[in-house]
Amino acid sequence: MRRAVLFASAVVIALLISSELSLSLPLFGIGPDLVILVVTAFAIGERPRQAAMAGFAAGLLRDMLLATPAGLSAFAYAVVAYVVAMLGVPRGVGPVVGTFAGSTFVSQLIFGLGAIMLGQEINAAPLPRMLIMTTAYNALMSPLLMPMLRRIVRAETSPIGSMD
Amino acid sequence: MWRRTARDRVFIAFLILSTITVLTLDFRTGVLNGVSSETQSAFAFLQSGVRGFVRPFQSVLDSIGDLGSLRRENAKLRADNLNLQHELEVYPDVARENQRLTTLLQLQDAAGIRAVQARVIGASISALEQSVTIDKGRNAGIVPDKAVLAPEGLAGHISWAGASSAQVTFLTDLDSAVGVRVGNSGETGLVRGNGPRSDLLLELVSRPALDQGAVKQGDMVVTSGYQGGIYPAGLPVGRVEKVELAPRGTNYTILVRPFVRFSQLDILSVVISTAPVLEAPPSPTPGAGP
Repeated sequence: MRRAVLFASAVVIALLISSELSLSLPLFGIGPDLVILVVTAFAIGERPRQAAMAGFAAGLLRDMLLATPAGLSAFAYAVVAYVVAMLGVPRGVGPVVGTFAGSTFVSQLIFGLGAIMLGQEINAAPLPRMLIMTTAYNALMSPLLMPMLRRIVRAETSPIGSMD
Repeated sequence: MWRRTARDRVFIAFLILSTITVLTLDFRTGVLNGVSSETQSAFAFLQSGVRGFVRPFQSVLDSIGDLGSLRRENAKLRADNLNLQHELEVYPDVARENQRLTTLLQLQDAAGIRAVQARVIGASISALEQSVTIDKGRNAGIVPDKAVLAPEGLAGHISWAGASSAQVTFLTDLDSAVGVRVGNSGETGLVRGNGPRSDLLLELVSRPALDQGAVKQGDMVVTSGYQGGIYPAGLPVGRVEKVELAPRGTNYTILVRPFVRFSQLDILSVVISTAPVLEAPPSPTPGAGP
């Protein structure tokens, strides 16, 4: 229960920080997506079904704040959380940051392609830039957010405690 | 390492079904609109708090970062100031005329457009959407589909309005489209968003007119303000940056650089009414008249 409350709080905080960074510190016009970092941290070492449900809930909250059809982020986050949980616990700085960057890339790809498939007015040009910039921003932010993310990872499987 | 079971297959099917259900509810029925609106209002409240907390720190960081350039700018401004003082002494009539014209323009603006000023409190959390949240909403008279102005020109339109916050979708958003008029030729067209940090695309201009040079690099682009549209006529949008005409066929690419710098917005004006504000005639004084 305590972990669920922590996860929900972290999702809201991640949404707020993402919005603030998109406004005041965008990277070539694009902000980060910190919610997927929280979802990934939750999924590491978690059972796939629980991870996917948490990802779906976090994504649905994000969808409520966007004009794109609701369900896209929910599906993207659920798929990523499921796969991260399936892959097991990464060990060492490189694999952990790689997991966060990979999660970001895949979730943004599913989200972007889903939006195009559903007939959203999206040109092809901004999509690769969005994928690259959001992934790079998240990769930069993940070490900074480690103190917060570490609290969400299952204590017995924590792979990122040794990253300091 | 995890091994997939029949239960997991059922769960994956359940996940896909849940997504399709949510998409259908949102796309076809609009059932989630109320939930979305309440969530956005609550989030805007939190964004406003975060923005209020961060703004002073941002100003300090910006000031430190700008210190070197501020010194250079200060020296340049001092020199400019001396030159301007000299010009004012030489051309007092020009200065007075300029002042009169400025006042006249301000009066025209005040009579033609009624607007509400609002502060930007947050940006979109998705790079696919070019939008910001402002700290005023329906309580201040702001409703969807109203034009939004920045000091440099047209910024976008209101796409959602809550009680005390609203969302502004920028011209650069991929869903944005504005009817415009170009330069001296008065050729009409449609300006569409092209994504973050991009120029706008000018479309629906007739190719024969383009072949005759109706749209040139450097031409100013303003809103055309057709009947029933969101945007009043004559609002500055940007300047034509590039005109590329395919040698054969009807294809062309026209890029328009917007006047507004979307990454540096703080205060925005939302157009509430474009009708002239008419004063009520003075009521007749009792006993007056023939």
